[in-house]
Amino acid sequence: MPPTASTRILFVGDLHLGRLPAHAPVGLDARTLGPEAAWNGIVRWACDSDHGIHAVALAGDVVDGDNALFEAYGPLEKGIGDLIAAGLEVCAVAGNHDTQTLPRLARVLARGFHLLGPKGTWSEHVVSPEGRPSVRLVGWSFPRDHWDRSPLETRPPAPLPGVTTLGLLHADLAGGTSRYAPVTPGDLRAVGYQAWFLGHVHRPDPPTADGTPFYLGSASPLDPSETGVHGPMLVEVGPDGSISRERIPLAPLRWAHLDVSCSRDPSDTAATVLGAMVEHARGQTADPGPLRALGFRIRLTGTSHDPHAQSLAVEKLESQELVAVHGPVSLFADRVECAVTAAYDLAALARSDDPVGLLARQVLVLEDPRAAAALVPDSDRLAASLLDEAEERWKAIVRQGAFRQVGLEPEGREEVRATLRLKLAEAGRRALDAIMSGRRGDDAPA
Amino acid sequence: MRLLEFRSDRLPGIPTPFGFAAGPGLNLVVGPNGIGKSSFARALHFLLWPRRGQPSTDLAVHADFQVGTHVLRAGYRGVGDVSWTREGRAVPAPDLPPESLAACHHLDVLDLMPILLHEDDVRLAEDLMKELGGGVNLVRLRDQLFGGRGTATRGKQDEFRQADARIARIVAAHRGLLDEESALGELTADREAALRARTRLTLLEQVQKRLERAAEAELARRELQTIPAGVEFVRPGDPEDLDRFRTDVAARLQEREGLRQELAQVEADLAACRLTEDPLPVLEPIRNDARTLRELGGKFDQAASQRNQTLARLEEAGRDLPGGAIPPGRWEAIDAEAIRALVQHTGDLIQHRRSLAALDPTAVDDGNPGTGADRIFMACGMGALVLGAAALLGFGLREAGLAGIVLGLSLLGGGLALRAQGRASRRRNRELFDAARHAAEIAEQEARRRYTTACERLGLAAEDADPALPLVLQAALEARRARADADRSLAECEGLESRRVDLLAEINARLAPLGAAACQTVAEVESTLTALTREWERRQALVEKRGEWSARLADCAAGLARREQEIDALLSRLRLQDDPDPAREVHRFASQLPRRKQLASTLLNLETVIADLDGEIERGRDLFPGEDPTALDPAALSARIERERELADGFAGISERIGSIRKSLELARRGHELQEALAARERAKDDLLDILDVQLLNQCGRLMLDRARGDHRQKTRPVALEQADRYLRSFTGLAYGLALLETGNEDPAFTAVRLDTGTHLSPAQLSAGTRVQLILAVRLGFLGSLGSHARPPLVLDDTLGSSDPVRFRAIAVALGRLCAGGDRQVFYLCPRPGEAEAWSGIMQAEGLDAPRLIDLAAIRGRAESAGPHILRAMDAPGRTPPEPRGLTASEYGERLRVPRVDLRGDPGALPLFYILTDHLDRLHVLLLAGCATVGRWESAREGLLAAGILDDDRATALEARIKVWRRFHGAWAVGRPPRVPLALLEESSAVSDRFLDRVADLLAKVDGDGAALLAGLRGGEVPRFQKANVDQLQDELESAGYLDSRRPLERDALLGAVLEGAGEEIRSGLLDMETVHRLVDRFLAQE
Repeated sequence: MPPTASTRILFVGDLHLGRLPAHAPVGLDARTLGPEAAWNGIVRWACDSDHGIHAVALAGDVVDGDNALFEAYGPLEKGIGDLIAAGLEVCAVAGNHDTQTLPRLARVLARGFHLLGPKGTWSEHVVSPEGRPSVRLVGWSFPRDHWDRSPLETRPPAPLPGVTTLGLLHADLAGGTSRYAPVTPGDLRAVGYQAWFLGHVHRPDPPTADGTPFYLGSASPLDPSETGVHGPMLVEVGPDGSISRERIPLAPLRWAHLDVSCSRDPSDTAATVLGAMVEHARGQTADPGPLRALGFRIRLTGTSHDPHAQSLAVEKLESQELVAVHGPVSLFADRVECAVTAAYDLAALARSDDPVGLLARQVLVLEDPRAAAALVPDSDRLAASLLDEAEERWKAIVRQGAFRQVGLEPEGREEVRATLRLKLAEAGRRALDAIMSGRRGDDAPA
Repeated sequence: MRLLEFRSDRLPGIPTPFGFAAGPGLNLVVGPNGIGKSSFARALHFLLWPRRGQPSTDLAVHADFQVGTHVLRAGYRGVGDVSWTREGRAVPAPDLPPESLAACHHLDVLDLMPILLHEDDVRLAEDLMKELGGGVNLVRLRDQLFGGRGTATRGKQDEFRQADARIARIVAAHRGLLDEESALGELTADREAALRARTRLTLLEQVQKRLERAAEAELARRELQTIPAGVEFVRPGDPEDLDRFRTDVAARLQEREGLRQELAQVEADLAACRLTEDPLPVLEPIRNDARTLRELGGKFDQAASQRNQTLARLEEAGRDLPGGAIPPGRWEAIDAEAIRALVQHTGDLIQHRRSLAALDPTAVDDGNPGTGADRIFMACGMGALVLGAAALLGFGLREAGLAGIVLGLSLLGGGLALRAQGRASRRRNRELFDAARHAAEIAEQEARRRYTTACERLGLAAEDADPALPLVLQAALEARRARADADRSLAECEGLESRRVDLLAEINARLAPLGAAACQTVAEVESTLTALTREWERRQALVEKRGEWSARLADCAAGLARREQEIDALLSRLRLQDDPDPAREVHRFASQLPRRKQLASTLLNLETVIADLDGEIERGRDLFPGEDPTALDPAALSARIERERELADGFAGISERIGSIRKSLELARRGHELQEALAARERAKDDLLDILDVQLLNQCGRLMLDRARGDHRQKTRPVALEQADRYLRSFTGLAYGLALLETGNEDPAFTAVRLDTGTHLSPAQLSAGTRVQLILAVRLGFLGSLGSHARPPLVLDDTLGSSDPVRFRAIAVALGRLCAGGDRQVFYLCPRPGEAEAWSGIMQAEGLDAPRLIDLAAIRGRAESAGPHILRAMDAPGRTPPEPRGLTASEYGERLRVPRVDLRGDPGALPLFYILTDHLDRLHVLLLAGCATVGRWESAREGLLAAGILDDDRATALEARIKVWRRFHGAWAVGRPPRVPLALLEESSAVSDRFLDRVADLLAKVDGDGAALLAGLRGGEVPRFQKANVDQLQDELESAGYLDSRRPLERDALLGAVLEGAGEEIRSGLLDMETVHRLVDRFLAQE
């Protein structure tokens, strides 16, 4: 008898159980905003029979490698136990963070939990609820913490006609020399599965309808850079094999980056920022659901006759707690940056031969090489020499013990130079802002 | 702009007018000290830039200047402002350079003194910097915008480290916990084994216990067998019961004997009794008769007594009658009626006698002259008459006197009337009394007659009426009646006596059968009756007693029999019927009874326990498959128990450990400690990355601004800097170039650059001569950047005194060339005439115009010196040392603000004050000449001598003292190395940036002491500073002379060293011992 209803599977991206969000608002317990809280919410939501979930698929990095032994393992074991007890099947692939934990869990939970692709192989599990279409989940797990080869070097199972096959993978879609299972979207699409659901990158991709692999994103943001709506992806496979995708916003924390136009009076900066936060929240959280906190990183933009005063106003905010409440959601500003500039024509300035003009030329060659080429002789060489010098200084900085111990992620030279280009331009702009707003260095030394 | 002529009407300290004309180009103003050279220079400066000087009323000068084609005169007369005139008309001041460049036109010897740049030079440097930055001080702006290194790197680094360490600690604990979790299975098996061992141990202990109990039972059983059989039946109270029984038997035997004796006595008493029958029926009538007899006797006695009383009364009445006692028999003749008549008549007579006595004629008063009232009337009347007469006659009061007389007469008349009435009343009363007395006398006579008749009738003498006589007669009458009654009673008594005798006889007759004696009186009868009654009652008592004794005897016998039976039963129970001393045996049995009971109980218990143990052992046989634990001998059993105990003892520990592990696992699974630590590390990391970002931004900003400034400088190097650089190169023979030090956060400064090494040296690091050359070069350089301003004269006030000939020449040539164009006028002031010759020689050799010589002494016409104080009046405040006059050395030192001596510092920095406290005037002169320190003296000695500041002798004496100082300092430095400069740490490879701040703090804490610094580092005051780096730093300090392990010298040793070094000066008399001692003590006081 052909199926008449759809099969519903909840795909969960990187959970990183065992971690807490490092940037939590004052007054809220970070534990209520972290992955554990998100995981508990996901389990409750999936177990709710109203939602009709048949299986839960975990796309790796379920636990955080730094805390995989106990603090992460306890909630994971309990959550999976609850899912299994509710009659759901749980499939998972191991990411680079949980190469030990998930196999260990699979040994403990003999039934109901399916670790796909153990030890760097491909394996599958078919979810076949009664009277609903079978869905074949195929996955590959990290055998070690680092894996610099494509998972597709081992051939995955071929798609089966008439059966919806979904790929579950923890990998780096950037490909190249990544140490985290590099693979390209094209290679994955070539396998022939109906869809690929990936873990690894925390920023969620918008779901694609054409089968293009995409990142599920972290179930709950760990870092202010992980902006946008986070939560598991509900995938519904219809009787006709159609696939629909819907993100369920179950994360208790959300981050947003806002550009806020500066106020004319710098003393109004706090009110301006708070107003922008509340306004943004209004547009975001009609139904907040389990959302408890909305964090912001604010950039004050625009032009001002006195950017320095704007900058001082922003510095003053550092000693304040910029918090507000929107319904059950706490709003807080994690950081406010000042990007207010003075109103001047950079190209016009660059035509002068005085030091200000020379400074403007430097900024111009960094910000707009094309425009600079017409104005500044040897603009490329000027930019290169600035970048070379800046690179040396950057090397000196990162050689400092304080930063060595942090363990900076190695970056390619081009990446570094791109960053330095931005920094140089920012610094030049800051100096030009100061000069153009009347500062001559005559006042007392800072 | 050229000075044509200078004229002074008065200068401070130089009141006499003088003047001179100046030439174009170089002018040498020469003359001895005090002649007015510097005063001229300052006056000229004041005229040009009056705001930089101090107006003085002692100043009256003017100067003519050639400005373009005009001659302008600047004048000042002690008040008001400097005036500018042209041909007598006021004109505006010429376009002089700004005040900031005024210093470029005047350099005097005092400019050589400061080690740091003068504020004028700083201002010049700032102007240069601004010019270099196109109007913006890019360096300062750079440091303001991008000066920080990022906030609190170290603090955030520490936070990161702490979080990291915490994470490591928790992870290690988790790993340990994981190991423990994996060991749980083994631990559980161990616990099971321990549990089994514990069960076996319990059973083996039961077996061992059974063996012990069986042995105990055997012992009890054996002891029980040694106890007599009777003990089994003895009761605890048996000994006491037996003793009590036996005592009771003896007592009862004794009681039975006593009862028998008593009973025999009663029987004997009964036998002795007379009455055998009850006498009461007989005795009762007798008792009634006796009562009657007693009544009769009483009556008889009463009647006799009454008769005797009446007789006595009668006799007594007879004795009271008048005339003596009544003879016997007369009483029968006395009539009772006669007695009553006598009594009546006696009374009447007595009454009449009393009435007559009351009418005594002597009692009537005839002579009474009147009543009181008549006498009152008479007296008042007489008084009124006298008063009336007196009033009339004496006082002439006619009416009053007549009234008194009339009243008196009236009163006298009244009185006389009253008196006549009284006399008539008394006469009537006399007549009435006499009639009454007569009647009374008649009545008394009649009464006497009736009395006498009555007495006679009774035969009594009637001598006089006695008032008591009736009473006596009444008593006699009653006595006569009483005697009659007595007589009747006596008769009755006699009848009663007869009856009494009869009755007594009858009683005796009835008593006789009872064995009683005859009685004579009622008392005897009653006594007999009492005796008979008592005898009968005693017999009755004896009978009762006999019955009682008999009963008690029977009871006693019965009790005795019972006790004997009980004794027999007890002994029979104890099997002691035949024992010769059963009581002793009973006691022995009783004493053994508890032990027997205990043994029996113990044995019973033991048998119960053994039975239970047997059951348990039987049930636990499965724990010992293939072996019988009960078959083990005690030794083997003990050994086996020990083995099992060792196993079992581990159970609690293992269980506890398992519980602890499980609890830890549970806590770890529920915990968030590691998560929080990870989050904290993440935050610290983010903060550090923010700091990195700030540092990167700062470096980029510095790079951008430095690059812009450098590019601009390459294109537009300021003329002034170029010229100053050229001057300095020239002055120093290409040894030094000039650079502008731009630190941003500090005042900009000119530095000399060693052209051979590129080393920058600040003015403080230069020798005095080079410093002067640098300052001169800067100021000359700026002279070329005046633009369109007028170019005032340049004045150099003896600034080359300390230059060596080569440098002197270079400067002189530079100045000569400056003047060569004709648009610059230079005045060089020097006290030494020979110097003028040198100038001329150089100018000539260089093909330059010869200087114009202005001999001020010659101009002023005398060689007088106004003294150094002339310098003071126009000095800037604070630059001239005060005079020591009237001050003690210490006061002068305070006024000068002499700093303390830094014994660890440069010995050349010693202020001369410390070695010239006894020559303050000499010190003052030196200070005026800009010579304040030993080093300054040594560098400027020749110039000062040439200038005549000190003569040779005084200079030699001063140098002798300086030698003492040098010797002292050298000796004191033994074991006391100089302070470690911060620069050494900054340049040391042993101290990385990471530790630099903390090591620098420690260096400041130990006041630059190298040894203390190393000790602190080795003592861990800078955590994690490696030992290898300490060793390396020690090497560097030693090689640089900052460590000295020698023992520091004490005062005596220091003094010895000084004396040894200054021996020649002492011997030559330049120094005396007292001065040396004083100096050494003064230096030591600075420690």
